[in-house]
Amino acid sequence: MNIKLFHEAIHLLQGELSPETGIILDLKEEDVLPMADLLVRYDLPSDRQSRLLSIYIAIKLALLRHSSCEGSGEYLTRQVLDGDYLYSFYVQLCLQWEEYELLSHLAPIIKQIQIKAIEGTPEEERLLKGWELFLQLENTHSRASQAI
Amino acid sequence: MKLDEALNIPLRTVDKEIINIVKFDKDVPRSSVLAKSIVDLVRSGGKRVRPLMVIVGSRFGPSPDKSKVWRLAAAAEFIHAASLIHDDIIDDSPVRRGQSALHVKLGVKGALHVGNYMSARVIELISGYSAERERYAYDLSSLATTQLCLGEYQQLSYLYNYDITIEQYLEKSINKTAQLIATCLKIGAQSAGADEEISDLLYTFGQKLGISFQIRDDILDFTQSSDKLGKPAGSDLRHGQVTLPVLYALEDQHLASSIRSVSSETPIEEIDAVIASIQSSDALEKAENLSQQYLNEAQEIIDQLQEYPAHHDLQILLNYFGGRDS
Repeated sequence: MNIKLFHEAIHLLQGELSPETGIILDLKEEDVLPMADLLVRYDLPSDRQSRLLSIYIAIKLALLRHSSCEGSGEYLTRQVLDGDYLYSFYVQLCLQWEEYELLSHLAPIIKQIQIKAIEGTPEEERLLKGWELFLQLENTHSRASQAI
Repeated sequence: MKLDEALNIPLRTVDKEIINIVKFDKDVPRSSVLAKSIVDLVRSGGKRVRPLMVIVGSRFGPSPDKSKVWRLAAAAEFIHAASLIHDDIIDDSPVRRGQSALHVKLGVKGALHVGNYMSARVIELISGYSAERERYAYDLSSLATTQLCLGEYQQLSYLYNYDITIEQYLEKSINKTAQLIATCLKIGAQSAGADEEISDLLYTFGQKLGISFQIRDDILDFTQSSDKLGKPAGSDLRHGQVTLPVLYALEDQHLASSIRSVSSETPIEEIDAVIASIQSSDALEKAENLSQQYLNEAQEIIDQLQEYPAHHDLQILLNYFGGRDS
């Protein structure tokens, strides 16, 4: 089930990326499955699950590309550019799919991840925790609205 | 007269607003490496063309909300500065505005994260206008740098490619340079409540100005002395970049074969000879003519906006970008 979601999200994201970037979504399942596991715990429509996982993959891959920036030449250039593009692209995906609350929620978390990395104490696990909190809050609001 | 003075925009206030973006970030200690790096970068100077354009754009609207306009202006410079930090890493440039580039001071990863912080901070600030969802969605998508990155990808894929078309060169120039300049004028106008027709005209004006500027920059790479450029003349071609003067020179059958022979393996003396042949051809004049054509089209837009007092500011920008002013 989660593997299926993983492949659907990869397929969706690959279709949205500009072919000119040449970005290959070469994440390992272990990089994404914790988020896929998290998403299926919430009662979300399947197309939204795929969209949310696509957004997560874009951010996760941006983090991975920039964390492996070493050396010089075309390899370094592509790692920098891929990360830059994906950090910008997740914003576009959120706007395109009207995930405004998610964007407002994630922006400070992604910022804090950068701050921690500069301080030499990387905390990339904040990303998954941030998503978990978002899904919890959204679920609570949704239940509260239904109760009213 | 300097551009900021001619536009009557105090640069110190612009700089203060830019520094405030990091200064008022509760997640960043003031004495941190991050805060210091950004403040040093801002204080090292710069013309602040993008913030100035946001402010000029706002002068075309009936109700400029000063604090919002200045915040957008500062955000535009933050995005631009972040891209410069990453450009320096890609180009392995050791110096920025007379100081060691940030990747020299902090290492590649440190500098990358500073640039990422700056972009993320802008997204955080703009997505904070949650009451005005349509407005912030537009501002965010405008300031998103996907197009700028696409321009970089295009530049990378066109290296030593002598078969690219002038249209491809122009598209790359729009993505890399002109789009952000055009966006700055447009979001400034929209933040002040300008009509869509006016903000679209300003966008087109900015795009034409940006393309003209990029072409002139590519010409200067051939015409300015190496002392003034801080790098050898023809540096773009030496690094495989096929710019407009090269494309026009390729139309000359006598020059085409020698230009096409230039690769990353070509000895310096041979490249020097190719560059000299381009310099003495009519390619630079043709490129200058196209740059001028874009300026003329931008001038036509100014003429359409005569009823707005701020059209004088567009004229100042045009003269500045066209090299008719200091």
